[in-house]
Amino acid sequence: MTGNNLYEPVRGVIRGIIEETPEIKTFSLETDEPVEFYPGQFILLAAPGTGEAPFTPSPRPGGEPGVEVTVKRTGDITGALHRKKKGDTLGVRGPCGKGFPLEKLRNREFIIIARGRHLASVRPLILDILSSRDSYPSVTLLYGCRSPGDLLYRTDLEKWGEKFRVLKTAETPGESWNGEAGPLPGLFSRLSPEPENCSAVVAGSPEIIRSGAGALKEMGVDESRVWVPVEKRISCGFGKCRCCLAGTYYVCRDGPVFPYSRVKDLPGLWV
Amino acid sequence: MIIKKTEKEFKELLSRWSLENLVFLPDTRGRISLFEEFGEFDLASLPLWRGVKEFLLPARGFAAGGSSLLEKPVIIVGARSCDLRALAGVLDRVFLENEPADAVYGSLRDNLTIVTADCASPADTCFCIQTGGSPYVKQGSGINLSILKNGEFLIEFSGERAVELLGDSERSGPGPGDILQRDNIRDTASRKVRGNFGVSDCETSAGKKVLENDAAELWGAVSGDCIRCGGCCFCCPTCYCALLNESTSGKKFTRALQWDSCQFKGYASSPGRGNPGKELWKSFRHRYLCKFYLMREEFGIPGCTGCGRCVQVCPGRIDMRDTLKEIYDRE
Repeated sequence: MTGNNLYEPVRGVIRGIIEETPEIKTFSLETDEPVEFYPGQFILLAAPGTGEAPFTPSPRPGGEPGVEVTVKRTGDITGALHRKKKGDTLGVRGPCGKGFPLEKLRNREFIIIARGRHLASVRPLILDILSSRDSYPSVTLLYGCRSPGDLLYRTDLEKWGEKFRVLKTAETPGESWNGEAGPLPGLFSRLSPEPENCSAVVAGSPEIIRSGAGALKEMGVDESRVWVPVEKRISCGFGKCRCCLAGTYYVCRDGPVFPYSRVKDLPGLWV
Repeated sequence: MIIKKTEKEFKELLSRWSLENLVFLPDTRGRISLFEEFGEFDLASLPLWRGVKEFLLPARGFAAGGSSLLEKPVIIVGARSCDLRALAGVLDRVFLENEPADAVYGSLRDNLTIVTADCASPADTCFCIQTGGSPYVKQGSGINLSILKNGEFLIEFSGERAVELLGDSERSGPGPGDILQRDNIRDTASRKVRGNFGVSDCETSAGKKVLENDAAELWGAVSGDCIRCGGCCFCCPTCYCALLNESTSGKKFTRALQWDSCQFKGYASSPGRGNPGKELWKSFRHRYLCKFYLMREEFGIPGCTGCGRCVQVCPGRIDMRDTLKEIYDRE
């Protein structure tokens, strides 16, 4: 929580920037106050004078105070964030939302499907898997990107591959690419879950979420055990401004992670 | 407890309250003004601007320093039953009861005393009964005013703050027949409101009707005169859609929730997820869906209190009741 006023941010100083791809950067921020979050919750990151937008925080390596945030350049705010340099100050609010129900994901077979920048929204969950490996008996990550140059967290992916099953695919693979070729849904046939004992997370565009959840349903995985991070315009972050309303849910307060069964038919959400 | 005051005594009471409080009430221009500054008041008018909502959620938000409204206790006199319903049923729930509470709203709310007044002569645009309300407050008001035909005031009050404000005033109880006269005025007002709109169960049935009817042709026809000005949302006592914007206070950036409207073209749009309000008919229908279905699901009461303010301010002369009638006529 950011002090007494819900809307005032705490200061976050940029201590490191990783250029993941030409359009995606990961910022390492040292914050004035600790930001204690749960995997799947989000924070609001502000470029002072431009505005703020929601992002998924990850812990900084080595347990340093603050957060790591991966930002894809898509509009004014993310553009302003991308122009920031080491030592610059950003505003940080949150954490907001409920996050993943870890108790429902642990001790079961677990499948993660993610495409492109959306891997950032499941990264904290993957870090939880790594830190409590015994709680996740079987993990598979299917990750798809446009081209090898768009691959996110490339060093992390290698390390994750040593701990659990990671299949990655690029739509336009180059010569040095060591993964699969083709769109992400092409990997779905490589899954053979035990439906009764399986949970999943699908993170991506509405098309990826629909096709991923649809493929899992065909394999017998109940839609109530498929969790999807929902993206909407977020403003206040605490259910006070109605900006992120999805049906009768506030994405910021009740989400941003929902069981697919609960949100799949909400009108206007998957435009 | 019920006491009676003449208009002169009532004005004296307002003057006394003004010594230690900021006393606001509807003026003869149809606004809510500070009694000390404007002096004249008209409790029969329904203020469209600077409604009760604006004392808690001002259009441009509050800067970090807070509000001048916190310098003294604030008393709003002449709020309507519809105002109180919106405040207790929607705004307080969102900003106080839903965790985490909004501390700025909370401090302003704590500082605010509402004195309600019966609607003796509801406007032609009022349809509060059809949305589950009534032209007078049935419960929840600490102090309520009823104006009798000779201009005298019946003041019904209960609670600590009410006793503090009225406790030491001269006690003169209602005369014989006063309560009966008040009830007759209330009955006449209720009859008038019932006659303003034929759909009597709007509160419970309108949400389903809006949900079921999503044809572009229907909504396109009823929204033709909408110019997306957002006036309907701004004067609505329950609308609280806002955007958290930055403003500067000296050399410092501060945050403030500033009013937004679901009728605006860019409402809830984002680079990653497009613009849900691109088509006018969809934005227009969203307002009805929000008022009669979504808010009713969330708060147990519709987000429309039937105050009719949106009907009065609309430059396109769109009447919510006409739209609803159009939907009800489709079977």
